[in-house]
Amino acid sequence: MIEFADVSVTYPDDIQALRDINLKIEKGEFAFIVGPTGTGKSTLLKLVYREETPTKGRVIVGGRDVTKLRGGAVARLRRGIGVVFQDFRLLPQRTAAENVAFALYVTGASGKEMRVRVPEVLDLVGLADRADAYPHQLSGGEQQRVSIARALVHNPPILLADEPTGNLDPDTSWDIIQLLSRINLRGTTIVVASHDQHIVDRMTKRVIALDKGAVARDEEKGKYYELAKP
Amino acid sequence: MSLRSLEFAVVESATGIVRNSLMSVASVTTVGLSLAILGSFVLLALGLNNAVQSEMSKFEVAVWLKGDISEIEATNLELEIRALPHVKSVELISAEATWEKIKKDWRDKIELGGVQPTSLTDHFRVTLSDARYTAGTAESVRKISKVEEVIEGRQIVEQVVRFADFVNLIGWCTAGVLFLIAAFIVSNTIRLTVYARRREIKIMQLVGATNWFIRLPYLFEGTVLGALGGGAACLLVFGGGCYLEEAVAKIMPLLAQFSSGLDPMRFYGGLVGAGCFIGAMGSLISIRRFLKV
Repeated sequence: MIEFADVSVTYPDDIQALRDINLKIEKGEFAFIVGPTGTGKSTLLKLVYREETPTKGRVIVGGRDVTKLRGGAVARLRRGIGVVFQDFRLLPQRTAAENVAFALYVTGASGKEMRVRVPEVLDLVGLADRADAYPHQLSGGEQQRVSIARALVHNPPILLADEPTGNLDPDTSWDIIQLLSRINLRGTTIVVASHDQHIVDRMTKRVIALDKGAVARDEEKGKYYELAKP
Repeated sequence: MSLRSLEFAVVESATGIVRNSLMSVASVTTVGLSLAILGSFVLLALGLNNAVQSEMSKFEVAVWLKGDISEIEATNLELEIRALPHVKSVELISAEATWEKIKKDWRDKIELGGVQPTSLTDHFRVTLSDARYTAGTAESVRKISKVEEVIEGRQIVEQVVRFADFVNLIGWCTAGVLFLIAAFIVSNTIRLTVYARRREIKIMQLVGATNWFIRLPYLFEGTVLGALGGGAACLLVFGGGCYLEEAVAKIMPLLAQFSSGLDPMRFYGGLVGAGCFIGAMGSLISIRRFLKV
């Protein structure tokens, strides 16, 4: 589903954000990307939805090299990738339902499609009864659920989450991860960048550890830190 | 362009203009003033050009013939002058006709008692296609025999032509600079809207809205501001134009036939069109940076 082949990202001033990344994330997988802040987790995700392009190498999403996409093709790629952030990125002057509908509206969906799809995804994230609340009336966890609903509204095969629990308390964080896990069971490929040790350890999913821009460790059913540390 | 993107663009651009009303007014004003000055210069330059053109036909070359010339010689001479480059027409004015004209023009002004028509000769009135060639043509005619004297309005013509060229140059330079300033101010206005909407733009990009969908509202906003500025310029030029034409006619009666000869619909349409162009360019410049991924 997602493949990185010899990917390096170098910023001006020779700062290497990522170096020689070779990774393959299969369809329907649930993977954590862990590592300290500034180690390239966000950059790795940005490469997938083409917010960034690699200085070297190829990024293949759904069988297509996304580094070569231009204009309209980038827009179409993004309709197939849901993205969730630490800061939710909701529009404050729009209700939960309107925030979700906005994603459909700006991509030219019909009114009928919006009327059907918006309650559907709000129900999926457990917010059917808060549809008319504004972001400031919602708790952090609820806001993140709205942003997940928005990410899912195009029914994307891939969902990326960049520190989705960074602003949430431990219990709420766990709820959100459980929600992502349920979405994963429906067949959506999920990649979560996180430095939340408890969650990563408790989930025992695939863990890709980055260190200074390179893959330090890639384990099935991994933990946040390497296990047998003498 | 889908119906959705049109609907979105119209609603969003209207919101943008209302929200940034102060900057919008500033944009409309600068676009209006720039285009008004541009328009005035266009009118002035065209008017001067036309005036020069019409004066040119007056600044013909008068070729006075020797008194003893025969009719055949005169005809040959006429053909010879006609064959010269840039000559538009050649007309023979008899001594009698000249005398009649002098009597009519100068009656009551000077005493014509001592002047006799016999002291006059026939002359050709040679009209040129372009005033710039007056001197050269006069020179060529002088070389032909049987010509008594060649009189041309060279200096006046040259001065007027030079003045017109100068006005043209100043006009285009001023207009160019103003054009840039107007585009810059519109671009800044749009930048404010874009800046206020940067979260929305980011989200739109994230959920897969196309660049044109995102761009269109700002393009609309800029174009509308530019068009309004163009409209303001039309009013200014129309109001000022009537006054200006009168004033110029008073200051330079020489250029009495002062008129741009432009179709007003095309001229005012052109001003509004130029306004739209400035606005659209300004907004595209502003949004470009935000859309770069």
